[in-house]
Amino acid sequence: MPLAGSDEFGSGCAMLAEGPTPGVASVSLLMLMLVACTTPSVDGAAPAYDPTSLTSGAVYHWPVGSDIAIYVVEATPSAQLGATARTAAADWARSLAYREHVLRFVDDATLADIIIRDSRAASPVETTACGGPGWSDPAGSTFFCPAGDTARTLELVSGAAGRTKVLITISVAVVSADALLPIVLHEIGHALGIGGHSPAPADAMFGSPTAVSPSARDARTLRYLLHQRPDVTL
Amino acid sequence: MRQRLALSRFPQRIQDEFRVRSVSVIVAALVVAGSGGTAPRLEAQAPSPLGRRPRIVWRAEVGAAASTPLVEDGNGVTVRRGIGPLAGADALIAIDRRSAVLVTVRAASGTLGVRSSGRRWSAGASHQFDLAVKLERALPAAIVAAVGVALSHLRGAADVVPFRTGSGSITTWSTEATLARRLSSSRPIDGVLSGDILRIAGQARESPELAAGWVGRVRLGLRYAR
Repeated sequence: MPLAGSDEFGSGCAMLAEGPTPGVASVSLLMLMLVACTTPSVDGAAPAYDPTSLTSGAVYHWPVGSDIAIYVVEATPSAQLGATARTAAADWARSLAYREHVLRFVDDATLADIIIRDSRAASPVETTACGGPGWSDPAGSTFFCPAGDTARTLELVSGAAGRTKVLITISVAVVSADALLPIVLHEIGHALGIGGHSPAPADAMFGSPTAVSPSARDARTLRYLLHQRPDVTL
Repeated sequence: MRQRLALSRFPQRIQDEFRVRSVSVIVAALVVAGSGGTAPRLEAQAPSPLGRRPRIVWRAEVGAAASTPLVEDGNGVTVRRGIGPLAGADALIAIDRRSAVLVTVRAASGTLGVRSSGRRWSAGASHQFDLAVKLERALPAAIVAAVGVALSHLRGAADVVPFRTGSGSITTWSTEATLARRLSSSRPIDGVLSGDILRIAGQARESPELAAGWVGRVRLGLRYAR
């Protein structure tokens, strides 16, 4: 599909090149065609890996152009998870080419779109009522609850009105300090919309992640899927 | 016909070169077009006798500018500058009764917008600053035409292509053409219609990689001569 767009541009440019020698009368038209044919462009490359391999081909993501608020639930005073989550979110933000999302951290669970919790802390949202897809892993998991073409808002245990759609759970106690960042990075990748795993170990979305920042392949895959119409909008 | 056939067989690089040369043809054509017929005098006086300084005429311009997209991504993303205000000033020195050289400084601003999948969002503001050198010529029907080249500096969000490289700024060159017509016989105010095309260089080391291209802009404004 993206390549078809490139072909269209190519055809337009070929028409310009094959047109009559420019004269004074056609100067304006030629100028417009010149600009139209050679707009600075980015190739619409296919994703580096299937971003829907875990969702049976379904694309999900947040509405592009929206801010995404993240709230972190720590289990210990060290705030290790929060610091790691900030690093991982900043890394993903750098891989976005068009400011598709602004990732910001909030101090109030009622304002959070994504909650990242240490598995030792009680979940601030109720998930047992929904048997939607999620990815279970001893180290980390990402959960959301599809309902038609959208995702349900996960109810806050406190009873307050919230807006959380995605819950990330990290087993901080069972992962080494070095492994924490790759795991949080990987789960945030799922939360942004990558519903698949990469076969390449250097990618953040490799099934057993070790990468400490998204690769160019991860960025390409995310860029591709964010601009597909989602089957499920978070 | 022979040229058309030959061009279609040439590699893309050669065709690109042809397009660049087309710009030169455009500029030359405008200069030629401006050289004939009876014409009004420019506001600046003819060169002074030897030993006297030529008079510099100062002009100020305000208006609005709209441009073609800055980037088109094959995934369906378009980055575009919104219509925004501009302001500029010219220093004009007459060459003869109908021709002048002018130096222009100009600033334009607008929102930087992104569109994809039927959604639009803002990526902050974008600014363009130009330093242009132009040749101006009086044409018939009280029209004044100018063509020139400019050094252009663009600023925009550092996290949005094409501004990701250069930490939010791009310095490049552009060519421009202007037509102006006096709106009133009693006041030195002109209506100005201008067009410029700006070169955005390729960004091969960036991810995503950006292919070079041109960005067109149309400007409409009012100009006051002192």
